[in-house]
Amino acid sequence: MKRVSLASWLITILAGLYFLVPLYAAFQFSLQMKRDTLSFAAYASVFQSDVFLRAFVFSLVASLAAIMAGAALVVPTAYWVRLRLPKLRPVVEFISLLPLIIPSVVLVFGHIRMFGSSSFLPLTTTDLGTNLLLVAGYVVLSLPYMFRAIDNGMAAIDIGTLTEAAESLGASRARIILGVIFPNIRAAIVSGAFLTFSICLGEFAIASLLNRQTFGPYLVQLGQDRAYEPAALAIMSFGLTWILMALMQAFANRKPGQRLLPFRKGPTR
Amino acid sequence: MSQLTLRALNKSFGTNAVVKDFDLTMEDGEFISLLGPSGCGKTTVLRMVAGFEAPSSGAIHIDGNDVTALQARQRQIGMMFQSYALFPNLTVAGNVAFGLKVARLPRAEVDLRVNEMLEMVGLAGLGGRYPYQLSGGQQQRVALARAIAPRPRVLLLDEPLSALDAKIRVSLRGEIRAIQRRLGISTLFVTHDQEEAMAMSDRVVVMAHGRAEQVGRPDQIYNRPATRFVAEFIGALNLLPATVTDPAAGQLDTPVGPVALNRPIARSAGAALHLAIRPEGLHILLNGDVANGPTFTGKVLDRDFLGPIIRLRTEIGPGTAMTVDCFNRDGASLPEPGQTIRLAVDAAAVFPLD
Repeated sequence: MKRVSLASWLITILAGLYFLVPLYAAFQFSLQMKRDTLSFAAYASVFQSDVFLRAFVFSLVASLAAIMAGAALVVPTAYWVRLRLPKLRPVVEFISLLPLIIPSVVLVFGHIRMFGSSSFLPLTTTDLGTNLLLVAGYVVLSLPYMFRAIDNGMAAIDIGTLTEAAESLGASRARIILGVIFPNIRAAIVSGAFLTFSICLGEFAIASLLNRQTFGPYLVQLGQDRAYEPAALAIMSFGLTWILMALMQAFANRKPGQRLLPFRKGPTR
Repeated sequence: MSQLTLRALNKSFGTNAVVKDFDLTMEDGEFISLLGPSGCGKTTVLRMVAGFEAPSSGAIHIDGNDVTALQARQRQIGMMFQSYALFPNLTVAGNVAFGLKVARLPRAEVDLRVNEMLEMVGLAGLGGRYPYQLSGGQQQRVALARAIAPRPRVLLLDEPLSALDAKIRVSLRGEIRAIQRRLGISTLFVTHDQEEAMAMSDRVVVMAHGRAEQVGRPDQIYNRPATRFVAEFIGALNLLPATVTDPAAGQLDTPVGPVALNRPIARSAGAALHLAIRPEGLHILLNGDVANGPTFTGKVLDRDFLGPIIRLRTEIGPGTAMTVDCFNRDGASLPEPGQTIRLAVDAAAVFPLD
């Protein structure tokens, strides 16, 4: 066993405090909406707001759409690049990283210019079109995480040989991707999906400039108007993120045939 | 079930020709091994038959139909891989059923066939397990069941035993061969292990540098190798440089004295060649034994105990080594290193090579 020195304990404790103290402070503050007593009134107030519920549900739906579109785009791409165009992999990887380099403001202005009211495809003139643009923007933002997660998932299984095995059994390309590749990188897709979800939930620039009432702009607006509710929301967002992280771990470590929860027996056939 | 014909197959990757003018006709139900060192092109031939690589030129026929342009999934082949390549997300039964479901067999028939196949490979009752819950040998049995379940026209085995440990390798190869015989399925087997190829095959194709060096039954390949490469690749071999002195009478001159084969040699007088002698073609002469063939006198250099046989390395002349195998009989006195012994050669077991 290695001896853990006092210094490393100290650093760990300091880092923990750096993270936990503000969190605790925010939590404490969020409980003080009613004078002289600690209560969950701020939380209740958040949940009673129609605007909050609408924004949250809209964000939820938009993120789910982005996750599905992203997976449908990235899985076949990563698969094909790994299988047939391995030389292109650095290029594709670089492209997938671009959203980290280019601010999303640039992206959304590009959207507005390309698909604005005077363009050949005036998507911003309708609600549905604008929503589509929002989801498309989310897909782009999630690319670095989605591609990385899925590409790593494919590295973990021998997709080349599995593909050949399926081909020799008569399976078509679509069947291989849906029946062999997808289920075997499900954990990777799920972790990519959770990352996408947490990014989309907090996203501000695109939603705001497209004038969509999502969770991000709502949070900012609330921060300007109210005192206690934003703290409550921040704490809840943290909680949600942690739940997602735990789910990610559970999915990633699960073996085929195991249930997520232990109380149900796995299939025997 | 099927006949497989490969005609003038060539495959190049860029300027690198890996398979050159490869011809092979596989009879119905035959088990043929492609044997050779790594890089000899054997796997590429198999992958071209499977449809994973397109030949640069040449044609592949199965049952008289040209399948050269067909995709792998249209060829009705079964394949086993070195890495098992089972689908990790599917159960054993799910893996075996995969090809049957792709072929849209009715569910009842799928279940029936899956059970039949699992029984055949000795895994009845393990249908609900997942691949990660099985040993390597069991996984490869599942792979076999999965490959043969859709009744493929040709079975292709890409070094399926290489990843297994020695004991399982030997037992599984016997089972694969027994199942192959029972189903009468034409099988092409790629291996670099000569013992495997010899033990399992009806015929062996020895390959080197993208070409078939020799095609023949295992005993033909071993006893009458056509080229020096085959002779040296298969089994242990002594090579003795020699010059023909009398082709008709089979007389030769060697650095360790004249040798008479007592049969005509198809070379002209003065031609230089090598006499190839298997270690088991020599035996030790005890005091008083009379030889009816060529003999050598040599000094024992060292002795390897290999179980059923004992292999002696001797020196029969300056710089001329000769390896001799003798049976391990309990109680027999064996020559010690340093001892001088006389060796007799069975002239019929000596074959000339360039």
